[in-house]
Parts: sequence; C-alpha cells; structure tokens
Amino acid sequence: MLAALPTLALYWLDGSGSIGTTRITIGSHVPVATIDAAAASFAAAASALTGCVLVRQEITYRFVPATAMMGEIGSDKFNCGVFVFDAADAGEMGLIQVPAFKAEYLMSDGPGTGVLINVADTIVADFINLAISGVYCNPFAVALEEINRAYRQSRV
Amino acid sequence: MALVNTPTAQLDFTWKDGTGSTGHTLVHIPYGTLAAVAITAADVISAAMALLSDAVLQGYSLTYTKSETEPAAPDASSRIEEKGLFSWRTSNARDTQFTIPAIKDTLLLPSGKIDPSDPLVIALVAVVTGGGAIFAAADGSDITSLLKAYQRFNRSSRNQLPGDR
Repeated sequence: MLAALPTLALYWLDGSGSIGTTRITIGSHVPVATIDAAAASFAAAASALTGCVLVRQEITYRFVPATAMMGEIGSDKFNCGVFVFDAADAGEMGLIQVPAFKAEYLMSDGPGTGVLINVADTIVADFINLAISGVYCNPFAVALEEINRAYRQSRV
Repeated sequence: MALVNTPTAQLDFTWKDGTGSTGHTLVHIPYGTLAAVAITAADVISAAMALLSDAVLQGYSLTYTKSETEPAAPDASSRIEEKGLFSWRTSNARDTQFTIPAIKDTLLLPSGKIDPSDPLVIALVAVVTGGGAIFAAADGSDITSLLKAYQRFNRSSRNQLPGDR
C-alpha cells in the first residue's frame, strides 16, 4: 500500500445550522497524539477568526494500492458476506461485512445452502479468528469475542 | 465544552467489484490504538478479507474522530458561504490553501482582503508556519509563509437558503 499524507479536517457550525470544513495536510506520518496537539493549536487560532463554532475534528490516514485493479467479472458489491460477532460485554455485538463475497465459501448442503457461510472452511475460519484475536471491536470499543452467525446478504 | 473522542477509530476499506462499483467495509478499533498498530491491523485484516471477496481492495482510510459535546452557539449571522481563503507559500515555491468558513468581518479591509497585520491573523500564521509546525501542502512540502488572504463567497446550496424565505 502507498501511504498518503495524513489530513486534519475541522468542521464548523454556522448560525444557520450549516456545516463548513477546513482541511489541511500534515507533513509526515506522525502519531495521532502529535496531530491532535497541533490540531488543538490550529483550532484555537482559527476559532478566533470565525463566527462559527467547532463541532468536529477528524484525523485521517489514507492508503492506496500501488496498482489499480478491477474486481472479478460478475462480482457484485451488494452480494455481501455478513459476519455477526458477540462482543466481550454481554448483549453487545459487532458486525463486519465483506462485499462481493465469494460463493465458494457458502454452505453447499443442508438448509443453509447458498445462504449461510461455511465457518468451518479454513480461509473463513482464519478471518474469523483474526477478527476475534486482533484489536478490532464494535463501534462502542467492545472487543469482538466470538462469531455469532455468518451469512450472505444483499445489502443495497 | 470539549472535544471528546468517539469510542473507536474507524477503518474504512474500499472495494471495487467487477462492474466498477464501489463497496465498503467498516471495521472499528479502540480509539487509543496507535496509528502504526492500527495500520498493521488494517493490512492484516484486509488481506484476510481479500481472500473472501471477488472485489479488489482500492485502499483504506483510518480516521480518528472527536466531537464537541456542548458546542457554544455560533454567531447568528455567521454563514459558511462567506469564507476566508488563506493561500500559503510552500518550501518548494508552490502554494497551498485552505478556507475558514464564516470569516469575521472585523478582520477584513474595505477591499475584502484579510488584514495580515491583525493580531489574530498573525497568531494563525504563527501556528501554521512556526517552528515545529507539522502542516504541509498535499505534496508534503512545508508551509513557509502567508501568500494572500481574502474574503470569498461560495454559492449557497438549496439547503443553505433561509428556511423561512
């Protein structure tokens, strides 16, 4: 992957309720804390110049592949593999969807044929184990703990 | 009133299928995860997902978001369409720019130029160009000085027009 420079975006709210944005590039790949500190100084200086109020800050790192490619002919982004996880806290769940899910990883027999994902497949199991054991979590920062269900779904 | 981080940082993976359409996978990681660790985790999980998908990964972004929990009321007459455009000279003799919406009229000279001698403008320049500043142009060249700054109006979108017009 090729790394683009990080960017800082500040979102401002005006008197009519509209949101405006200030975007600025960061000169190198520095830690989030470094950018955050610089953002605080920048926001303070910029706030004095505007009648808006600051409502949101985003620090973004972007990566692109070295070569651009197309997906397999016939693949469809709406044809998703949906993985629903139980998270570490009781009642919490998380979800990861994979677009253009390969049909070869769906169940080929039984009542879930063509719908349920074959979680016993080594490639699928590797992905599930990675999602569970890595730093990944649900939107509330609760770690993913166990696969609950996995199925194909058309997510338009 | 303070900027408070969301519980998680967000990895947004972009995929392109065989029709050229773009799909996304969102994966969350705890906000406190260092960017370097998050990037490594992104590379690992994207490789695993790529084995499951007929789409091709077009790239990904890692975003750390903070939101103001109790924003103060903005100036009632402020409008984002009235921008302060700040153009900067870079170390490679090019220029870069950004805008600050709803620029205050008190900073403007009669012509619409932003007064470069205003202490508040001088403070902004110091933050952007001063020693230790990390801001840059899109090509990575350092920002060295303020080139020009002036008021500029964007056209209002339909949603930005007065609701009681």
